Amino acid sequence: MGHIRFRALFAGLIGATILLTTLALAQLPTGSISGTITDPSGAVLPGAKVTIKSAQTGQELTLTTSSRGTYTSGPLQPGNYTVSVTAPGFRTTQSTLPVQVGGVTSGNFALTLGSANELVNVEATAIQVNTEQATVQGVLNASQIETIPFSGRNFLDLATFEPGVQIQDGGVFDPTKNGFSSISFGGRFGRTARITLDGIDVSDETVGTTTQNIPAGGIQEFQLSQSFLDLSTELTSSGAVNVVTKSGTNTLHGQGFGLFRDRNAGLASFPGGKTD
Amino acid sequence: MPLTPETQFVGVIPSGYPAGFKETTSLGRLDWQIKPNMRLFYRFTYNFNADTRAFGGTYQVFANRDNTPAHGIGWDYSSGNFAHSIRFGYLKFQNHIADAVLGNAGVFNPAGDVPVAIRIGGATVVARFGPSRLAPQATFQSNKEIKYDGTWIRGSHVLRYGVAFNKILGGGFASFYGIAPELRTSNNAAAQAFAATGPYAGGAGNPLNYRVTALVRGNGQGFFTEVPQFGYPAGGQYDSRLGVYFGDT
Repeated sequence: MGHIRFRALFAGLIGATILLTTLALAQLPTGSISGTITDPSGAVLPGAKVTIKSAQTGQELTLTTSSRGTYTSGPLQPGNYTVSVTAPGFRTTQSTLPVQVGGVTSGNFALTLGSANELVNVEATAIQVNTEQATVQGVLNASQIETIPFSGRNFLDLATFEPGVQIQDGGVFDPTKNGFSSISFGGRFGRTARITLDGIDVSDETVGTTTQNIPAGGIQEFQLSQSFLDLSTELTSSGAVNVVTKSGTNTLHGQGFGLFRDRNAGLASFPGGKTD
Repeated sequence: MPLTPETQFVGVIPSGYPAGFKETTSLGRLDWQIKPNMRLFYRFTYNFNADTRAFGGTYQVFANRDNTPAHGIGWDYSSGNFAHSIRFGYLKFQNHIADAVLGNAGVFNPAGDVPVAIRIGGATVVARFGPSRLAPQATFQSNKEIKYDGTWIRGSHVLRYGVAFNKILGGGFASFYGIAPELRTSNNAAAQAFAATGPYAGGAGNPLNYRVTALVRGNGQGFFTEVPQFGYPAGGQYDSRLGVYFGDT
């Protein structure tokens, strides 16, 4: 009888695990551009040619809109992309759109009648409202990370710039987590946050939070998501962090950072330091 | 590290102790844009940190070390209405904890060269002194991951699907109370009154003046030995995790 109960419980757990996993796995390390192309009357425009080009890497994609006038870029490294749309009998329309990690950038265009040789530049607004995804999330990009003040250079401290989040000292909940922070989403315990780096899990599977600190200078984008768990959020019961490192370009780049504080300056008592 | 000493220790022991801290983080990444629609990258990170602190706001200080190398390979490809991402990951987390009290002088180590830890309090711990009860210990964890994410655009539907598999090794070794046994005392009024007339200077502010009510030893003191029937997977255990998803977004 005990075995049967155990098996039922075990099967239930497995079922719950599969359900949770089905609902919430795979935090995407990339973003994408997706949109609908329409004519001046608002009707969808199938067969329009959409070109997406990255200024940083030279990557260029050429797509054709579907029978419903839609297109999607597929995975794109975070950054700015120039999107050009051409169709016979319409002016070429172009705009520079930002792609954020884990986000779907809206790339809807309404073409105007004219020659394809005429170019219409559409200025993208600086305020990006994500109308494509139902998740509660925020993204910090490299320039924000470099300019906003946060102490300790601990990458998880970046989470404090998003609402409903608190930082917990990892050393408070487990002795093996000294030197690491953890993130409390909506007051929930910091052990449960899921941390991924370039789409690869770096969470501590035993006691929670991260297994490593990431140099802040190497972060291209820092994404935080909570509450509504959609497919882009890794398995977690509270929230997730998705960090994308800076990708390479055609030139070699690098940076170094060092900080040294003498034991005497810090009045350190341990180990082997001043004891008075 | 800040502490809030109990009344009898205010002014006797410091409300914190500064400790050194060292951290090294490094990251390297190599990208290859194979085709306009195909990209490959390799990323390596290494993190080392070392600090000295205690767990639970006590004076049982230990030296902590963490080492984490991690590798990641990513491949992104899009063609027509399909997009594919594959990720390979490997990381190894190593934590070491060693006692930092024994051999040091001062309030951290009231018993001096005698290897003994002292716990003051009842159900709630008021203060702990002496060698760390958590030392020595080592915790290891490795995580091998392979993950696929796909997207298929069909009409007005964006179909997203994926599968991920992780092979995780978790475990460790710990000799709790391995440096010293722990003497436990009460912290009620009677205990404090007894300590106030104790033979050592400092009265109730000196942990050595309290009456011992219990002695605790852990596996580090050879108090128990694991037997096969106990079933605890000491040292490390592999764990596999498989996840799949599909959605029309």
